[in-house]
Amino acid sequence: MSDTSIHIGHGLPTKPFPKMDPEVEPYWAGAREGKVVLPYCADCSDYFWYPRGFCPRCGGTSIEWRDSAGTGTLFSYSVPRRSFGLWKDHAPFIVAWVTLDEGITLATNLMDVDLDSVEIGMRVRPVFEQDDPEDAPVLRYVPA
Amino acid sequence: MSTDTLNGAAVIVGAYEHPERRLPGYSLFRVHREVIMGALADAGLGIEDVDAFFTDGTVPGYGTLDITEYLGMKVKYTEDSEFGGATYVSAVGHAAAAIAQGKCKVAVVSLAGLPLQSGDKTAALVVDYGPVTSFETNGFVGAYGPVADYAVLAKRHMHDYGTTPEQLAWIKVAAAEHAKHNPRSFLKGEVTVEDVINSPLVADPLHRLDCCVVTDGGGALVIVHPDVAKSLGRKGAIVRGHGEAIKDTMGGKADLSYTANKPAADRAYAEAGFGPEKIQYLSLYDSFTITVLMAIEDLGFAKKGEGGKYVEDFGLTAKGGRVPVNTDGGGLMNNHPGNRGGMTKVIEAVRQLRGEATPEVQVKDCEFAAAAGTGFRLASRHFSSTVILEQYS
Repeated sequence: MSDTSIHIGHGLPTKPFPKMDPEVEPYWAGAREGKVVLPYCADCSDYFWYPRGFCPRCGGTSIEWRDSAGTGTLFSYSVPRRSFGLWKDHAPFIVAWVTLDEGITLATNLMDVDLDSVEIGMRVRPVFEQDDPEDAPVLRYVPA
Repeated sequence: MSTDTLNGAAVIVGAYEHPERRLPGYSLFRVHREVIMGALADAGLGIEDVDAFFTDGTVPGYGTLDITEYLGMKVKYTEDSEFGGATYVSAVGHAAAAIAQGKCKVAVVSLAGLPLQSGDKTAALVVDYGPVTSFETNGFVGAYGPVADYAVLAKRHMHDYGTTPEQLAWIKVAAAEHAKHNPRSFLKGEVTVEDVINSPLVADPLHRLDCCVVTDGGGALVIVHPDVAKSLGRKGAIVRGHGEAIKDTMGGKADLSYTANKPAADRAYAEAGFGPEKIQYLSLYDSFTITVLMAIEDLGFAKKGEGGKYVEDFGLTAKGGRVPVNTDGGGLMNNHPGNRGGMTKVIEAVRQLRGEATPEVQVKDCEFAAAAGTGFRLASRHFSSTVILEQYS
């Protein structure tokens, strides 16, 4: 397989600046300190994703923002072989769905890995990427 | 007639697919006009008979106002609803529901698209994305086309059920087998499993030949009250059932083992009063090979996880008494106007029920057909819609 020679690096784009919803500021405050902070619904006693100022399961607003190790396992992935816009020169990269140990799955990128060693179920840990201090810290993953 | 169901409430009496695949110099309005006039002529009706109009959210102007003004169409019921490729399958149900409620009697549904003209090869609709994009790799705008999202689902299916890239390739091979008999098909010629596997990876595990074509074009349908259908004497398709559904990231509790096709089809079957056992022809949106594989399972033609086995060895053709799928060559070969699949799916189903499909692929005595469409991204968030149709003559 030609994949054996492909190493996926880091340094993916962190622009454009995302829309900032003041209701989810605790998530971004954590991210700025390099911490994964997850929304937890005190009414359903469970985490949810993506961060919102209310629970999409029960509509409740008793949201706790809980520190997380951010670690998890690779749920699925794909490897776009071409891209465009800001990402044009970054293909191939990995689009990854990661299931956190808290039981929620998020879409992210897996980096710093040889393509032929990527497999569903592998352990991964979070890193925050920020090309530029003006950018928002973007949650991405590397092998644990 | 009861109005709590649309089973039998409406009949598709006109169906028209734009014959061209490249339309340089055309405006979207001209494509709409040509397919609408084509469908009305097919039905034996005129623009003055139309009292309802349905299209997607890409039509230029204020809602449907500019297009109905351009056409000289006087409508009392109209929608520009956006469900991506599922839009036109949904519109069949929405039109039938409006007819069942007495809101209108002659509805037109139309699609027009010119992606080749704009040079747009990404199939990514330009929209202002919602809040989730702040958390998805800093927004997927510009990062990758829809293909990688479908590929995430394909990868998981392979992991969970042992589905292989070769099995996905068979879906393209079957489409090419059907397209051989369609002189209008954008892509022509035989395709082998090896051809698909050896084509460049676009987003692992999907190859270039796992993807649909990009074409200009469009299509339109005319859906009428049964009294109008009776007066026309044209063959068509009775709407027996319709169902639609959404599926998204479900608060983070991801489950890629099914798509919105499942609840959509269950609702459509329930309304029709029968299930897949009666279906003799099947139109399934084929944006990518994996889209078809999931629909085969979710519409109940193969058990969960066994879609790969089902599609192998020309499983989607009439071979061995199977229910043929996409006998026009589908989006994988024939056309994919405006990067949207649902319209051509309904049109080929109507052809089959009328006995007007290409003779080599016509299902003998085709009485029941289903058409299913899917819109946007199959892993992360999408719409699906299914209609169940019966021959009308």
